[in-house]
Amino acid sequence: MSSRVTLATNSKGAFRVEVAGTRPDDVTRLMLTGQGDEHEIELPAGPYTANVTNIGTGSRHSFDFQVGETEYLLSIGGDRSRGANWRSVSKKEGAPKGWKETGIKEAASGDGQAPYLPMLQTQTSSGWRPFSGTVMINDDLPNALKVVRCKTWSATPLLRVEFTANDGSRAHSFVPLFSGGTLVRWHGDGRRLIELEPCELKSSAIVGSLTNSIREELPQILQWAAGSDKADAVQLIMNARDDPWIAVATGLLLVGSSRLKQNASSLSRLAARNYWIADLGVLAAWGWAVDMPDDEAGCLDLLRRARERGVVYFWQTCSIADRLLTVLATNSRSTAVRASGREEHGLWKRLRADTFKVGAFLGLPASTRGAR
Amino acid sequence: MTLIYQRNVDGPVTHAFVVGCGRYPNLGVAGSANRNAPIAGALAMAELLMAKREKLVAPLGSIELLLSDPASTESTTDIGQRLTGTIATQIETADETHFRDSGEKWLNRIRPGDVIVFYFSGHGITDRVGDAVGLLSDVGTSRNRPWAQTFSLTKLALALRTMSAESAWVFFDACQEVVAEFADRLWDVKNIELKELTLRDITGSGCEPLALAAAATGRVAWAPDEDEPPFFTQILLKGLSGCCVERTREHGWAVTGVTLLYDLAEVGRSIIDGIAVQPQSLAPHSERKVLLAVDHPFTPVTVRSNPEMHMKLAAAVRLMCGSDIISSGKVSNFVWRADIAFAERELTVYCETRQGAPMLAPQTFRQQLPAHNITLIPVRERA
Repeated sequence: MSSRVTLATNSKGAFRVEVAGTRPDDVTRLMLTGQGDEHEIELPAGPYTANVTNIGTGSRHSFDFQVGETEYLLSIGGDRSRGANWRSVSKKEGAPKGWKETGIKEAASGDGQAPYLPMLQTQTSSGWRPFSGTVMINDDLPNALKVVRCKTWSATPLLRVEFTANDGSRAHSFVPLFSGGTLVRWHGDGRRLIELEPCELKSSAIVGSLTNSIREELPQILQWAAGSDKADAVQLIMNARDDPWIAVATGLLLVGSSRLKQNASSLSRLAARNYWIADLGVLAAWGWAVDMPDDEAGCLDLLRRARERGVVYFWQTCSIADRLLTVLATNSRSTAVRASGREEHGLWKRLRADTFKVGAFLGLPASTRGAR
Repeated sequence: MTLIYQRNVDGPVTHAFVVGCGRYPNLGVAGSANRNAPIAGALAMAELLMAKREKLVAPLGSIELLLSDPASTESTTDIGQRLTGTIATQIETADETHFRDSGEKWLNRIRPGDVIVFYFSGHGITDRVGDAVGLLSDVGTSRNRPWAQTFSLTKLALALRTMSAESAWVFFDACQEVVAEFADRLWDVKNIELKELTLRDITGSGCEPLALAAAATGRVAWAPDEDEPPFFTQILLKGLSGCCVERTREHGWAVTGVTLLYDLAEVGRSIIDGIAVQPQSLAPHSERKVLLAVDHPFTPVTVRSNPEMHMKLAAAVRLMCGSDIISSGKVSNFVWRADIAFAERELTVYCETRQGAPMLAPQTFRQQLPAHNITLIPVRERA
């Protein structure tokens, strides 16, 4: 005797669900993507455990259920709210002096304690200055702030956040200004670990996939994000909403699932337009290698230009650059490319020295050449 | 080459290349760089593969083994009866020539759909670009090419990606120390490459190898002084034996890339005292590939006390499920350990104390994979 069980999401996001029965091979794995997505499975009567992983955040929970004679509807998702109760720090309350000068807001919260806020700085022609854009806080999320980009942004909107690394040293990461806002999170009083993620849940699932998904899931996540598995649709999300950082995350997922070929030209255009994001340059170099594998010098040139002109946001970008440079530096048919490749590989290595992972992003020592 | 196991099987098979390098005559002073643990590690890995040859999702097809034993200065190492069922007992040294030779034959055997396993235990360093590099026994032999007898893990993993295999598994039990002399020379180091790669090779589709290193970049991997495998290998063997498993529809309980990637550190915290083993993934994405099926999964359970001296004074530990005794035994050296058959159930640890010793409060927990670390505290504090 078996019954039909329907699993349905009640929030926007991507969820990995594993339903396990009592036998070792009695396991069903599936993915639910987007609000209202449903999946039906037939299960024999008995006890089951459902393990749910939010791909966007990596958070997990599990629950037990019993299958009997009737049909069941299991609701999946919705592990935290992030949409309501945001209020601007700088405009509604007025930024105190300390905010502009040190980046730490001294305004009293409801319980009389001054909340910690990490230092945000933006690059100007005269160097790094405190960020003057919109920063929002939320009493429901005490260890987070939301950074919202201006409607009209500068040509190279570089923003970085300074924080304390695990070893106690000062560090920073470049903050992507996602469409819909970027959440900057830290953990409790330690203030040591920072997470960066898009506020918008679909974008969060795309970025979260870079750290929380397994390779087999990438095509389905891409299909959901784009609304179709056609190359045109994927290009659309890369170009949509003027959000080059989501384009990078999508490109990295395409590399991971070996599907970059159809989107290589689109990435090249994006890289040329957003030269200050080195990640796009590296993806363009990978696309170049896919399209024109015999033009090793062209690939190397794209990698060099990416490093010289842009900053690296995503952790995975470095490993992609590393793979290309490993081959160029050791196996190129051209002696000149091998020599230049070795030099470029060394420069990338220097750029990566003492870096560490901050979720899907790259953390750099505070001393790393100021901005780049 | 030393082919210690080979058989012809219809369909996909597993081809393994196992290297244990413990003799380094040109490193250190008067044999100070020699280690016994890599030999024990490589033999234990080969033994496990042979014991599980029918449980591997692609049955074992071949094992190439190279050993450089510090206890021997002969050109081969006699493993005698240490492994049963081998077709050779004289094992050639883990030097440049044999590594190239065995490696090439190993790669040549691989057919589309096969499974590839590579294991190395010995000394390791980090090169100029942060990649793990394995050192072979004749490293430093040549005055003009002192680092030529080494191999890069990144290049090896990239090469395995292009072999059209179903899955590839790389285990590197060695340090990733930064050695300035090597890093400074890297511009000119032309070390061992088992396969030359092009941009076309690496950008094409292929299986993403599970590549695990015993330590992170710049860190040291540890090994016991005794004739036992290095700590990472001990953890790996425990995981492969049946605690790093998950359910699969095709094979039931099985060791997968995901479980090895995420669970080994927890197993290490349970079975190794005093040393934190933090395996590092050398690949960007994990895959739910299956290496071997497991009939009887288990969880290593480790019981300690806080303060730890209380456990030293304890007489015995009992692990109960309701009124059933699941396991019991005496405490040795501040800790009690047992491998417990896995089941979805609640277990309770009771500690029997000697007369006059502090009573330790029992603790109940739900059995979960991969391992448990239980710390008992005195009854008074708990109250």
